[in-house]
Amino acid sequence: MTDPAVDRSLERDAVRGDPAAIDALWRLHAGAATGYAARILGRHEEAEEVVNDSFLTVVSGRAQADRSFRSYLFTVVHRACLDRLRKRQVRRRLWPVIRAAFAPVPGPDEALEQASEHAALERALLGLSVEHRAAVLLYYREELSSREVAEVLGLSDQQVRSQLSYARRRLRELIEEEDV
Amino acid sequence: MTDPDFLGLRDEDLTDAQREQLSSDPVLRARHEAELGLGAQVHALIDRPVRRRAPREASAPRWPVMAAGLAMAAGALLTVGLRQPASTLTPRGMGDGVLSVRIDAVETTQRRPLKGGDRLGAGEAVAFRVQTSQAGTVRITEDGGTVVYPPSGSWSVDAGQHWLGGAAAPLQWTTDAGAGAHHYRVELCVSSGECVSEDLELVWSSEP
Repeated sequence: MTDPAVDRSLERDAVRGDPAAIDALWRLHAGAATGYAARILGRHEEAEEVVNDSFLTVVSGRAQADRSFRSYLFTVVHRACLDRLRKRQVRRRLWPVIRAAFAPVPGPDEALEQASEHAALERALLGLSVEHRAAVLLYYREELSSREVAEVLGLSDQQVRSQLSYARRRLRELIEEEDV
Repeated sequence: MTDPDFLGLRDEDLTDAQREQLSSDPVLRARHEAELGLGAQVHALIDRPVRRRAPREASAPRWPVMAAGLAMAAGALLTVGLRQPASTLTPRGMGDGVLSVRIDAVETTQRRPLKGGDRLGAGEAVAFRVQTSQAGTVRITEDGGTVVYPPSGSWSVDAGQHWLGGAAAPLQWTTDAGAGAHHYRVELCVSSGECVSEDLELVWSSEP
């Protein structure tokens, strides 16, 4: 999580072209935004492209003073991801790619076990529809409020809550199916 | 019976009535915490490092466009820097009042110091380092004009050594312009209006 007040201050400087502020905003948000895009798209390299382009769009054309930088960035990233998905429509073939991308690094047993759980969860996430996956990632991974998630996804707050409820239930089912 | 849809929501997204319901119903509370636990697992997922691209120059599409990223091993890069021969870090005239600027680079995977004319494999990344004899503003361009850094505005530096993106986390750069020799120019301008520059040529291979 980042401090919205810090974001606003950095954003003002970034819009004026201060490279240090642009770098700071990048460091604060690019990793999370790319992780989100990678889990929506299933391809890390493509996610990097999406986030790079989205970041420049947000920094250079920012006019959403009523919204947090983070929420606005995720909105732009999310829309860019949907555009890319529409163009390819090979969703079910993606999970081996992301499994490789998030493959655990060999290490102590505990780390391996944790990495294995993470990998199982990553695969289960990819079993969700894009809409449900986006809701789960934005709410739990990125810790946006349910209202901010609604803004990003273009839904009502109530719809987001329903999406989250269904998505968690489906996520558990997918994890259990993998354990069998 | 279906669980209420507020289970698994963080406290700040609950209404007072929902909080009250949770505190008065231990079974519901347990299910709520289990849902939050699943959310915590999602939160704990690990992201890969990310690279950053410089803005594309629409007016010069054939020029190489470089991709920059946050360095993963800033400390390691600094170690490499310290191991480099002193001659690469001490430009002619440094310290004697003569205005000068130097640029060199380090390949970031094997931490290989690079000199002008050195070759890089496709997909390899470099971190650039600049040495200035006086305080001023610095700009790095590639192949005759495309601005690489800073992405906008100006980069003000003191006299001394500077990594692009900062010593704590230097930016990594790679090219998507294809194989061939590419020229990178660093220019230092001081308050008197005087400017000085130096070029670095790196040769990118089509093979990894």
